[in-house]
Amino acid sequence: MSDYIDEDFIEFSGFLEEFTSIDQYMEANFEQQTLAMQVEKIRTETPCQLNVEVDDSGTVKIGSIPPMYYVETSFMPVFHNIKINFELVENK
Amino acid sequence: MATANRSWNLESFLDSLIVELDKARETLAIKAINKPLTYAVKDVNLEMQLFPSFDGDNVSFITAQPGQEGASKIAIQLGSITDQQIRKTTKEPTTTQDVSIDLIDEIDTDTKNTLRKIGVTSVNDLDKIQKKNVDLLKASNKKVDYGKLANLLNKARRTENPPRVGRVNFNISRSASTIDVEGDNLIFDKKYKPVAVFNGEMVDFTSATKSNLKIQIDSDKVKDKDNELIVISDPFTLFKMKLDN
Repeated sequence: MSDYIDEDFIEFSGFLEEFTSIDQYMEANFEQQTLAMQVEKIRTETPCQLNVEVDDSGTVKIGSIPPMYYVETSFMPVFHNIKINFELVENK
Repeated sequence: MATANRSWNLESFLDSLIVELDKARETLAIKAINKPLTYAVKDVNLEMQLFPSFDGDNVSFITAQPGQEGASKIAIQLGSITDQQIRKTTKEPTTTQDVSIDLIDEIDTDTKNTLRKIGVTSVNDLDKIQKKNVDLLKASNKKVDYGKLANLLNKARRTENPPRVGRVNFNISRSASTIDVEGDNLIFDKKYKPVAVFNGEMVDFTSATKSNLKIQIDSDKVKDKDNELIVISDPFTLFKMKLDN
């Protein structure tokens, strides 16, 4: 459970983890054969909203979410930009 | 309580960002236990819209809010780094024998900031600088005087490592009588010559180490009860013992 004031935001670590929750293999069946593919690299660049909170001791908490709304409004939220590279690792 | 839209400094922000990255890595490592293949975060590049401000000493940032224009852009790139690289490029952490200058109340914040700017964060750092004959007064733009500071720091270091007396023995013989004191941190800085007073008279040391003191005494001066031994091991430490023979 997040202890952020703004519940719309998730912890930055959660934001990163969401990207890697993908199925290991993509499978396609063709006649008697199964073709499997795996993603080796994910390079993502997305605008995101940040919620930076500071407590009295100066400790910073970072909350983030991808853009929530796609409707243009008179006051648009501020979009920051995040690029992340994920790579597949084999666990021995 | 944490509050949004307050200014923060870059160090706290990066600390938090790195903690979040570590958390993500830990989760992925747990996932790796059951899955032969997982994804690792190779690098992260975060580009933010911010307003920086400078109060004369520190730069702080505030995240741009909806409707605000003209924000500066700052990009933080975090790449993966190996433990070897970390060891090569960072200072060793402060050891138990050392004292971080942050913990010394007698040093004012201005002096602490000046020292940090020239890379001094602990008492050992300051010793290294002195050994290389660096003129601290010049290096810090006449803000920090070594002599004054060294005393404060040595005192703090001694307070962190107080003397501990374990066992005291009288060795009385006709030729030479001694008192043996065993313990820890009895002598802390070899720069200073220790002084001992036994029953009101100055006495000499046969040997003085961190864990053991051998003090020469006159056997005639030893009383059955309430012998007083005072040891001054450095300008900041005096310990007094009441001893029964």
